[in-house]
Amino acid sequence: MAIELDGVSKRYRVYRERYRSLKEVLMHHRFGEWEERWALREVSLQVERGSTLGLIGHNGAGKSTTLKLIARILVPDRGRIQVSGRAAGLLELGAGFQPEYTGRENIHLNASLMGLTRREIDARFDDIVSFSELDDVIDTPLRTYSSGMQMRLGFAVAVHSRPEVLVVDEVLAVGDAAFQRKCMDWIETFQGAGGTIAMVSHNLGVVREVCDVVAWMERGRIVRMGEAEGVVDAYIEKVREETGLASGETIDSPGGPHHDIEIGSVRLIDRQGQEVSQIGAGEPLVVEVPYRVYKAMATPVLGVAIHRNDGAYIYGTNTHVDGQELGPLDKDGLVRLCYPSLNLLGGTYLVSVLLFADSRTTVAPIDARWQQYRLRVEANGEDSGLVRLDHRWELSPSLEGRRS
Amino acid sequence: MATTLTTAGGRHLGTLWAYRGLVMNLAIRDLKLKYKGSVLGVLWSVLNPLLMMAIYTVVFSLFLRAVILPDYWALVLAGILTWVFFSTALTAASVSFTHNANLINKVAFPYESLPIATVIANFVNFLIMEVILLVVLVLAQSVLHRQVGLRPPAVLLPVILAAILACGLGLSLFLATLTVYFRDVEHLVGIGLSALFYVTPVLYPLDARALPHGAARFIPYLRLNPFSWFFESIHSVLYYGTWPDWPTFGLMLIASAAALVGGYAFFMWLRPRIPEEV
Repeated sequence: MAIELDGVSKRYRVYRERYRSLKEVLMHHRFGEWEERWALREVSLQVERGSTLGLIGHNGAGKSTTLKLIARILVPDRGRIQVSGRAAGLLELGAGFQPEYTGRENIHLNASLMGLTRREIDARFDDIVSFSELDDVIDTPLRTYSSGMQMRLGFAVAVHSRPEVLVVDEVLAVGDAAFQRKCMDWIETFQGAGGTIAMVSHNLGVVREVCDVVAWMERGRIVRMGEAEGVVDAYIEKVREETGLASGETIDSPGGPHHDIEIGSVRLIDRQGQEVSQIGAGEPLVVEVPYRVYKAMATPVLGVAIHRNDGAYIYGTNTHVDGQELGPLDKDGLVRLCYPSLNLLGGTYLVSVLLFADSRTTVAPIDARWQQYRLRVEANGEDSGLVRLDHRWELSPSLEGRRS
Repeated sequence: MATTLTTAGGRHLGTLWAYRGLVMNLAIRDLKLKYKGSVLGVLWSVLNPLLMMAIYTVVFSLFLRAVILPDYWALVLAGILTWVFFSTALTAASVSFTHNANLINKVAFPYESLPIATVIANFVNFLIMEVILLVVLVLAQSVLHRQVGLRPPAVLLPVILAAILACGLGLSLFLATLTVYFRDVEHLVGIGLSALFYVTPVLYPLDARALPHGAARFIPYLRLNPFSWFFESIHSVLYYGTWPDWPTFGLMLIASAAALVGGYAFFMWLRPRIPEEV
């Protein structure tokens, strides 16, 4: 076992009123008013060498505490933790970076913070620089770097501490698409080489893709643990029930500000080729999505989703799940999604268009038009539900026609 | 409990040793920040104690006539340098946990490296100033008095400096840890140091003949202050050129060892909760 937690509990003090100065403590004769809250209760789990564990759950469920315990930042109040092999935490990339320092100096400082000796740093220095792709600017101060560049440098240092166990917290949610891809590629290599990972991510798509085992946590306990797909799906189901809102894929916020590729002005088009905001039920509809490419993308994925105006998720698909290769894209273009007959019921719908860097990042779009296109569907019928399923009635006056 | 704490402390020292590269890098960072703007930075750190020496010498010896000693400036300079080390190192180190909360929260590393590096950076600075001081003393003696500037007791200087370093390290660990729980310690350290400055024989010797009439009755009380033991020893070997008062010298060694062990034990005691409290 690479990671073993045995009956681990962790307690925090939650202060209602906290006296943080000697003066106040002397005045009140105590440190404040607090209650003890168990952030983790009796958590036991085991991760085999070479396996990847994902922790999912709401905020405050104890995911980050678990990660920090595995990374040995926190010490448990009860229970036993065993982590075999060199553990590296990617809880924050570039922790301790000095803006006035050059990239070179920051590599030395950051790597020594990760526990590398001077000799190790010197030996790996060139690899770190080439991995970060910052050869040209390595001797300029860090404050001149973009945030993406700083992240790349931090990631480069972290992976070159050659961990056997990696503890990752939402690192993949930051940075531009190219950086995310680089992280994912490295993680695949790391897994292939027998590395063990414990990660927290709100990006359920990534969790499903990357993890072998997933632990679903609630209020400091593991409520379900097992093979990734099953646990993630069960969790999504639960979240849908709770929120009443309902998109499995996009429970979380859309992507960051880095647009390597951008969605242009989307049009909804009817059978006459006219832009519309209203169509009849069962009529064909085309969603026309122009895009602008600022930086070539190898494997972009475009998705379109339809919600009813009360939030119900009706239908969504993307180029990847439909087996379409959208990329590589290096210049502006246009994609059309055609529905031969839009079998919706009467009502108002909202169409979303989302663009992802690749199929592994389909929870964090690089650009999104979330529920921006309003479509009114006119229908005469009074049937009800989410969609109109193709159907016909067979009416028979006797039981003779009954199929057995 | 006591034994587990001891073994944990021992194991932890091993970790700290493995991170010596970090301590060095952090200390270099501190020094670089101090000397940023290079020439002026270095110049200023040399000029500052010299300027203080000039002011104190004029005020206490010429103006107030509080201390009557030949070459009084040399005693002042030896005292000031040691004092500046203590006060800057302790002031800076006391916030080294609280000001690096985001690091302690997010990275697993022996975070005592932070105050230790701060003390070491200040100590390196102090050593450079001591070398300059020795050169000045030798030159001044030979020019002003045509004598050899340093006498044999100066061989004890490395021992005294080591004691000063140990004391600084221990107190820094203690104060940095305490500041995690009491944020106003940062300010109290400043106030405490200003008060301590006058009751510690930095600018004067604990010698009734050199002090104004009536000051002698305070001397026994002033001797109770552990800091006085360091300054008396420094003044003996550098200014008077005599062997130190051995009981005082012994007390200094004991006090520095006690500060180091006590500060480290205090830190180790509260260490597990620091990432949550900081």
